[in-house]
Amino acid sequence: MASVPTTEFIRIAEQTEGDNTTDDPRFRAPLVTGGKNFAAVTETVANIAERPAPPQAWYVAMGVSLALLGLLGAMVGYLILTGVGVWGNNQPVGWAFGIVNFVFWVGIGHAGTLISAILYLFRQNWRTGINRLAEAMTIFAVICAALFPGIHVGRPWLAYWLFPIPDQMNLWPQFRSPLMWDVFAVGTYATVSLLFWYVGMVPDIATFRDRSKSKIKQVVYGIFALGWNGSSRHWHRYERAYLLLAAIATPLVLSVHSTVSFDMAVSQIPGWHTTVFPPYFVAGAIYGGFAMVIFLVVPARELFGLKDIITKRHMDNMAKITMATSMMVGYSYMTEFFIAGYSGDRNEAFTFHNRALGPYCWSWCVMFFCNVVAPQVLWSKKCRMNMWIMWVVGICGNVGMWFERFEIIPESLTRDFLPSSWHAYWPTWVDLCTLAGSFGLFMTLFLLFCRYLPTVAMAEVKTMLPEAHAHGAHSADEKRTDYRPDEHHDPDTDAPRFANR
Amino acid sequence: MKHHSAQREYWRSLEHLANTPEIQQSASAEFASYEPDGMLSMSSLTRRRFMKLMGASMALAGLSLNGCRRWPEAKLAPYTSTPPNRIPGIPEQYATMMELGGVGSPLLVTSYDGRPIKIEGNPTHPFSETVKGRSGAADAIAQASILEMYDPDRSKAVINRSGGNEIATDWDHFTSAMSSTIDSLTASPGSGLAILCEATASLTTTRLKAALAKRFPTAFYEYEALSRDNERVGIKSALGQPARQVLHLDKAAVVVLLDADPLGAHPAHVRYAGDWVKHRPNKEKETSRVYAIESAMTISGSVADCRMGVRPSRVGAILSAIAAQVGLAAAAASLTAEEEAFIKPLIADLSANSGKSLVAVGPHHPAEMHAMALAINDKIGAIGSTLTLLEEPNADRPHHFDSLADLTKKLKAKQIDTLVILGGNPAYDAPTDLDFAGALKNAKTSIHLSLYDNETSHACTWHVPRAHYLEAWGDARAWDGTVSICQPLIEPLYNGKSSDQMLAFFAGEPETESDAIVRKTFADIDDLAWRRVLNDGLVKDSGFKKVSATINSSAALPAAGGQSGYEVRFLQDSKLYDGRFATSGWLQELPDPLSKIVWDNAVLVSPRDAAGLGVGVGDMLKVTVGGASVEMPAFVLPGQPVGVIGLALGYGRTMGEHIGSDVGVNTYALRTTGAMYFTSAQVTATGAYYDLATTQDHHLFDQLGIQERQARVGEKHKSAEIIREATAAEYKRDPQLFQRNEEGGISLQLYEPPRRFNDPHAWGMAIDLSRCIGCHACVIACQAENNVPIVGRDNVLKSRQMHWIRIDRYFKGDAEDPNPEVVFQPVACQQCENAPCEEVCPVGATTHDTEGLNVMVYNRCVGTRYCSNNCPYKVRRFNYLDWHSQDPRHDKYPKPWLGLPDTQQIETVPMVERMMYNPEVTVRMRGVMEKCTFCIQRIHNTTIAKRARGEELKDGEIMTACQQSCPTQAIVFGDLNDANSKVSKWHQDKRAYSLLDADLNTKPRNRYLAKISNPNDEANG
Amino acid sequence: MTQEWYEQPFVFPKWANFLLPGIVLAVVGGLFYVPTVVGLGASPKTTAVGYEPVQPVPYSHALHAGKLGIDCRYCHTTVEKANFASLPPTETCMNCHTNIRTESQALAPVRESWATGKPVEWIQVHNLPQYVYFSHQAHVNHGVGCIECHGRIDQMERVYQVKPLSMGWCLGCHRDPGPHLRPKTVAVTDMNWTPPADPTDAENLAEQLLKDYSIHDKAYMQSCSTCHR
Repeated sequence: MASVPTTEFIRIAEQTEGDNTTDDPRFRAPLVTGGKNFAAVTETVANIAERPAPPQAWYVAMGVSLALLGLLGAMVGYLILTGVGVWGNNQPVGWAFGIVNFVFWVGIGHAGTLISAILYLFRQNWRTGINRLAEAMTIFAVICAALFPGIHVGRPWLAYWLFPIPDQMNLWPQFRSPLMWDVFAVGTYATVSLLFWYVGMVPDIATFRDRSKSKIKQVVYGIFALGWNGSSRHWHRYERAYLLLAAIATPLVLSVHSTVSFDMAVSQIPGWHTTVFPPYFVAGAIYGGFAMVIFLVVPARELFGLKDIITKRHMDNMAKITMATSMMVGYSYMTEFFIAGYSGDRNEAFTFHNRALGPYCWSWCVMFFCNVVAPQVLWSKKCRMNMWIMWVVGICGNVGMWFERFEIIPESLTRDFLPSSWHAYWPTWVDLCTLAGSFGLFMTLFLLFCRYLPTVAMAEVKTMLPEAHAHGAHSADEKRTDYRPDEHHDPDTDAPRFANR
Repeated sequence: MKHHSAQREYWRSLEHLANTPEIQQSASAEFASYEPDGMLSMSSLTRRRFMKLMGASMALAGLSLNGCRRWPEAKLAPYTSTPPNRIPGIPEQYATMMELGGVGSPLLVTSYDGRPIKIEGNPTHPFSETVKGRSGAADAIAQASILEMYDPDRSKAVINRSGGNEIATDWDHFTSAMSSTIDSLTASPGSGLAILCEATASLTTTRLKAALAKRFPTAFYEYEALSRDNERVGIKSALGQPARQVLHLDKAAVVVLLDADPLGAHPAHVRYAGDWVKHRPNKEKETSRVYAIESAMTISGSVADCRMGVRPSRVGAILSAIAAQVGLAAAAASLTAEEEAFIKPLIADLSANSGKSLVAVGPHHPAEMHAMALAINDKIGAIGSTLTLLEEPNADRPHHFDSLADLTKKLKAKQIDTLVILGGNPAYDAPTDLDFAGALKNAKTSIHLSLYDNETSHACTWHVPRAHYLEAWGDARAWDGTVSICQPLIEPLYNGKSSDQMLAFFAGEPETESDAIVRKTFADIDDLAWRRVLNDGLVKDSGFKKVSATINSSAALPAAGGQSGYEVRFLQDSKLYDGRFATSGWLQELPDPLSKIVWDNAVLVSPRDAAGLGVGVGDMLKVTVGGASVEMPAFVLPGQPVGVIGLALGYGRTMGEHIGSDVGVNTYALRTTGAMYFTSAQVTATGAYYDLATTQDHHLFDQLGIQERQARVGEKHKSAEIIREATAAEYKRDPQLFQRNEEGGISLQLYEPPRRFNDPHAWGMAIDLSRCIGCHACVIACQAENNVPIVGRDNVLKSRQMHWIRIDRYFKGDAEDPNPEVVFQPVACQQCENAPCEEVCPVGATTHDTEGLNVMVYNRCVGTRYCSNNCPYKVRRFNYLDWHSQDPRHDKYPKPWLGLPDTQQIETVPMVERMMYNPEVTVRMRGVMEKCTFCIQRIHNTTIAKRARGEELKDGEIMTACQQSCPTQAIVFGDLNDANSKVSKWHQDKRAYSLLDADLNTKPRNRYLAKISNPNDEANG
Repeated sequence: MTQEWYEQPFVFPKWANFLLPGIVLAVVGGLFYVPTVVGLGASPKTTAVGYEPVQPVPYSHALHAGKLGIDCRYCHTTVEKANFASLPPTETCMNCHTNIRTESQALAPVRESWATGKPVEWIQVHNLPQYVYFSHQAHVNHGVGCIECHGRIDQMERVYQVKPLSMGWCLGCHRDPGPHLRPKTVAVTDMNWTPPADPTDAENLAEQLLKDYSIHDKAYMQSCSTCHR
C-alpha cells in the first residue's frame, strides 16, 4: 500500500522530537506531531471535554475568574445607581477607563478574525491548530468590550437612544457622530465573528455528540450540531458557508478598529486628531490580539495536552507575527512624534512632548517598553522556543496595549488648548475594580469554553494529517466520521496533494 | 406609583410637587410657619404672604393616580381672588437694599409667584446702576444672599440657654420672659441695658435707639471685625470732624492706591469699578493710570497699571515720601532703590495731573496715614474734584474696636446685667485677647439675635432667630448716604424678627410689625411718595451733606518700626467677608479671584519666601504670632510681597452649620486688639501636606506644563495665542496691531454651513479684557439664574465644578518677577458656529438653533461626554453625580440611589431649597451635560412677549445674567443682525479677536477685546 | 447485532420536524408582535388621550362656553399675556353665581372656597413634561385656535384630553404651521371656524397667514430651543 509518506512524516517527527519548526526542503514540515492519526487527534481534543474532571488548575482559575466576575457585577451596579462620578473622570477628562477598556477589548478581538478569516483565505494551514481558540477569544473579548460603552454613559437606561428606533419624539440618532459608527461597526463585528465561530464548530460539535455517553450531552450537543451527519452534501455546504463568512469577516478586521480609532481621529483634541490612527490602531489591535492568544495558548496546550496539535511551529509563527506587528506599532509611535514636530502646530507638538516627558511619562515608558522593546527578544529562536518567555511577551503585549490606550485617551485630554482647564486624571478604586472585573468576565467565559466545547478545530486539523492526503491511507480499523470529499485533491490545482514533491 | 412618572426627569419648580405628603412633611419639618393647608389660604392679600407662593395659579401634584396614566394626577389651585396687577407666571421685581458693615448696596429682587429667586443691582440707584435705568450690578455676596435666605440650616426657634440646657421656644415666650427684665430696668435702671449691634446707618435703628434711651439708660456699642474706622478717625483728626470720602475714579487720570482696594474690598466697590472703567480704553477719555503700592494682592492691584508689592511697614514710609515730594512738610522717609524708582514717575504723574489725580490709603492703616493722605489729596487738588467729603452718620460714636474693648471691660467688671447683641458674631470674630465669649458669661441675661444659632448664640443665654433682610422691612443708606427702604419679598420663613423689631420691643414701641416700625420713621413721606420711594428703591436727595473744612496738613506718622522677619497681613475674604457668609455654599465654592482657592483659606506666600521655606502649594505652615499659632496650608501666590504672608479671615467657623463648620482655619486666633490688620510672625514648615482645592492650576507642578502655559499666555504686556494685549502707547501708535495679530484664520471648510444662524436674530457676545476685574459677580449671577449646583471640595479637587462661566486668571511675567501682570479672562460657552461639540453627539442632544445658539437639550442627553472632550474651551459641565441632592460636605463616594433613575435623587432635596430654583430653567439631573446658552430663557421669554405685543426688540433689552451683574460692563450681549447694536460694534472693534479661532476655525459667537493697560515703563522697571 | 443506543449518532428525531411549523409561527408572530408593541406605545392610554378626570365642581364648558357662549378669555384671562393659561379665581365664578343658582348643590365647593379663602382644587387635564416650555401667548396671539390642542371644549360636559400632546404631535404643526392658523378676523376662541373646503383656497390662505403673522420659518420652529431650555 502506498503508505510511504505517512511513515516518512512520522520519522521526521521522531527525528526532531516534536520540534517541527525546521523547514526541511525535502519534506513539508508536519503541523501535527507525535505521529497522531485521525483517531488520536479526536481523542486528544474530545478528551478535554470528556474527561470526568478538569485539572486542578482549571478549578483554581475558575474560582478566581468568578470572584472577579462578581466584583464586576457589584461595580457596575454601584456605578449605575450612583452616577459616573464614582469613576475618576473629571472636567477635561471626560473619557478614561471606560473607553480605554472598551478599545482594549475590541483590539484583543482582532487576532481571532485575522487568524480565522485572513489566514484562511491566504491558505495558511497552520492556522487550523489555533483558530478555534482565537475565535472564541474574539467573541469573549467583544462581549467585554460591548459592556463598557453601555455603562460609561451618564444615563445608561437611555443608552438605547443610540440605536435608530422610531419613537414618538420623531428623533433619530446623529449619524455624524463616530460613536454612532461604533455602534454599527462593533455590532456587525460581533455578529459575524459569532457566526463564523459557530459555523466552524458544527462538525466538531457533531463529533462530540457522537462520542458523548450521556443522553443530556447527546441532546444538547445534538441540537447545536444542527443534525450534522457528515454527508458530503453537508461538507459541501459547510465549506461554502465557511468560505463566504471568511470573505465577509476579512474587511471587518480592518474596518472595526479603524472605526473605533475615528472616535479619536475625528475629534480635534491634540493627540487624538491624528490621521495615522486607523492603520496604527489595526496594527496595534492585531499585535495585542496575538499577544492575548499566546498568553492563553501557552497554558492551554500545557493543561490540556495539546502540544502535538498546537505545536512549536504554531508558536513560532505567532511569535513572528507578534514581532512584526509590534514593529509596525513602534513605527506608528515614531510617525506620531515626527508629525507632531513637523506639523508646526504648537498644541500638537506640546501634547506629544508632554506625553513622553510630562507627568504621565511613566505610563508612556511602560507602553513603549512592552509594545516595542520587549517583543524584540523574539528575534532569537531560543526565546521563541521557550514557552515561559513567550508567555511573558504575551503578558507584555496586553499590558502595553492597555497603556497605549491610556496614553491616547485620558492623557491627551488632561492638557488641551486652554491651560486654565488643565487637570490631572487619577482612577478611583471603582475604575480599577471594574477593569479587573472585565478580565473576570473574559476568563470565566474562556474557561467554560475550554471545558465544554472543542478547543481545537479537529476537522480542520485532520486535513493537515498525511492520512488526509494519502490515497486510501485510512486503515479499516478507523471509523470515519469526518470524511471530506475534497481531501484527495487540492481544491484549486486539481492535482493530488504532494504531487509537487 | 412612581413608575408612572416616566416623563418626570426634570424638576422645574414647585409646580407638580408642592402638595405631595412627603414634601409637606419635609417642608413643615424645615420651617414651622409652613402649614400645607395654610399654603392655600388666601386670607391676606399682601403679596408677601408666604402662603401665596403656592397659592398662585400653578399645578400641585397629588399622589393619587388615575388608572394607568403615565403622569401622576396634578391639581391646580387658583387664587380665590387675584391680587391687583398680578399675572400668575409672570415674575415681578422689587427694589430693596442689603446692609453690610453699615453701608447698603441697592438691589432689585426678582420674585416668581411670590418666591424671590434672583438678586440684581438696582438700575435706578447711582451706586449700582451700570446701564442707566436698565441694569444694575450687585456683587457676588449680595447676589448669593438669596441662598442664605432659603438656607434650611437657619435657626428656626428662640432658644433659651439660661438654665444651662437648651430649651426651644418661641417669640411670645421670649417677650413674656423679657417683660420682667424690662420692668426691673424701668423700676431701678441701675447699669441699664447694653446693646451691641453691627454697624448700621439705618434711620429706623437710630430712631429706636433714641426711644430706647429715653425709656431707661441704655449703652450702645457697635462692632465690625472689618472696620473702616481708622479712616474715619484719621479724617476727623485732619478735618476736625469725621467725614466720609467719596472717590470719583471717573474723574481721576492718575490714581495712587496704598493698600486701598476701591474696586474689590470697598463698600462702594460696585460704583467705583463702574467709575474706574470709564477711563479704560474708550474713544473720548485718555486711559487712566493706576499705581498700586500694596502689602497684599488685591483686585485693584491686579488691574493696576503699575504695581509694587511692599511690606505693610513700608507703606507709611512711602506715603510720607510722597507727601514730602508733593511739597508737604513731612519727614521724608528713606526709601529703598526699588521704591525710589517706583515713586519717581508716580510723583511726575501726580504733579502733571494736578486736580485729576487721587491718593487713597487702605482702611487697615493707622489714622495718621489717612490724615496724611487727605493732606496730600488737598495738596494735589483732589478734594472737590476727584474726591468729595461727606459728613459721617452718628459722628460721635467711638471706634468699633474701642467700643468692643470697652464693652468687654464692662462685662468683665460685671457692670452689665443685660446685653442684647443684634446680629454679628463677636464670640467668633472679636480679637482673641479680649476673650469676649468668656466675658459674655458675666452678663445675667444675654440675648443674641442672629440668622444662625452660632458661636455667639451659644455663649448667650438667649438666641432669637433673625429675619433675613429679604424677609423684613428696614432701611439703610448707601455709601453717599442716600436712604433706601429695605422691603421684604416674603414672610419670614423661620419666624425671624428684624433687629428693629427687637429694639422696638425693648423700647416699648406700639408697633411690632417691621413695616409699621419703618413706616413710622418716614412718617413725613405721604403714601403716594412712599409708593414712589418703594418703586425707585431710594429716597431722592437724602444723601449726606458735603463738608467743607480746612485740612490740617501737619500730619506726622508714628515711627514705623523697621520690621524684619515675616509680617502678617489679615485679609478681608473675597467671599466670606468676615466669616458671616461661611454658611453659603455658593460663596464657599466661589473661587477666590486670585488664588482660585475654594472651600478653604491658606497662607499666601510669595514664590521667593516659599523657596526660602522650602514649601510648595499645600505644604503645611505653622504661623506663630505671640503665643498663638495656627497650622495652615501654604499657597504660593505670584505678586505676594516678599516677607509678607496673607491670612484671610472668616474661616474655621466651629458653628457655621453644616456648610460652614470646619472649613479652613480660624485666623482670628492670631488677631489681637494691638494688631488688628498687621503683625509680625514666625513661620515654619511642618512637613505635613494638605490638598488645597483650586479651580485652576491644580496639580500643575511640572516645569514643562508651566513653561507651555506661559508660552501660550505670553510675556508681560505682550500678545500671545490666548491673551491679546498691548499698552495704551502701543495701541495709540498702531491701532491696527490686533488685526494683524490674527494669523489669518483659515476659513476653508469641507462644506458650507447650511445656514448662517441669523434668523431672525443672530445672538452674539463680546467680552472686554481691559474691563474685567475678576470680581466673580458674574459667576454667582449665572449660578442663581441657571440653577447651577455646587459640588463640594472633594469634587472640586477632581475638577468637577459646575460654574457655567469661569474666570481664567493668568499671571504674566517670569516666576522671579515680584510684580507679575494679572489677566482675567471670563470664559463661558463660545457658541461656536462650527461647534465641535455638535458633530460628535450621537443622539443630537446639542445642536444649533437658527439664531446661532449652541443649544444643549438636557432631556435628550444620555451623557457620553464626547462633546465635552471635543470642546477646545472646556466650558461644558457634566453632572457626574446628582449635585442638587449630593451633600457638598459628604465624603467622596455618595450613597447609591435606589429609586427609579428618572425620579432622580433631587426628590431628596429640601422643599425650601427647591423654592429658590428658577422655574424658567430645567434642573439638570445626574448624568446630563450642561453649559451656558446665553440665558436662553431670558431670550425666549422676552422675544415671545415682544412678538405677542407686536413690538420691535431693542438692543440691550435682553441681558444675560452675567452681563447684567458686571459692575464694569465688560460683557456685552445682543443681536449681530443689528449693525448698530453694541455687540456688533464690539465685534467690529479693532481690538476684537476670537479665542483659538485661528487654530480651529470654530467661528465663536463670542469675541474678546484685547487688553489695553497703561503701564509707566519707568515704574515697572 | 443491534447497536447500543450511544453508537447511534444523535440527529434530530422525526418528531423534531413538527417543530418546524412552530418556528415558522414564531417568525410570523414576531412580524405582528413588533407593530403591536409600537401601536400600544402610541395608544391613547399611553398618550393620555381621552383622560377625563372627575372635577371637584361639575363645571360644564358645554353650558358656559357652548350654550351661553362665554368667551374662553373671560375666565382664562392670561392666555394672551402670559405663557401660562391661568385658571379663574373663585371671584370670577362668584361674579355671576352670587345671583344665579345661589342654592345649587353643585356650586357648594365654590361658595365654600369663597367663604374660607381656600381655592377650589381643579384637576389638571393637559399636562406636559417638566422640560417642555409651552407658551400660550406665543400661540394664541399668532392665530392658533384653542381648538387645535384642546378640541371642542365647547361641547364637553367634562373636559378631557383630545390630542396626544407628544413631541411628535407638536412637531406635526411646527413643521407645517400654515394649515393650523386662522385669519386675524376670526377669534382664536371660535370653535366653529373651519378652513376653506377647497384645498387650493386653504393652501393660499395658509400661505397668506404665515406672512400675516410673520411665523418663523420651519427651521426655527424645529429648533430644540423653541421648546426646551
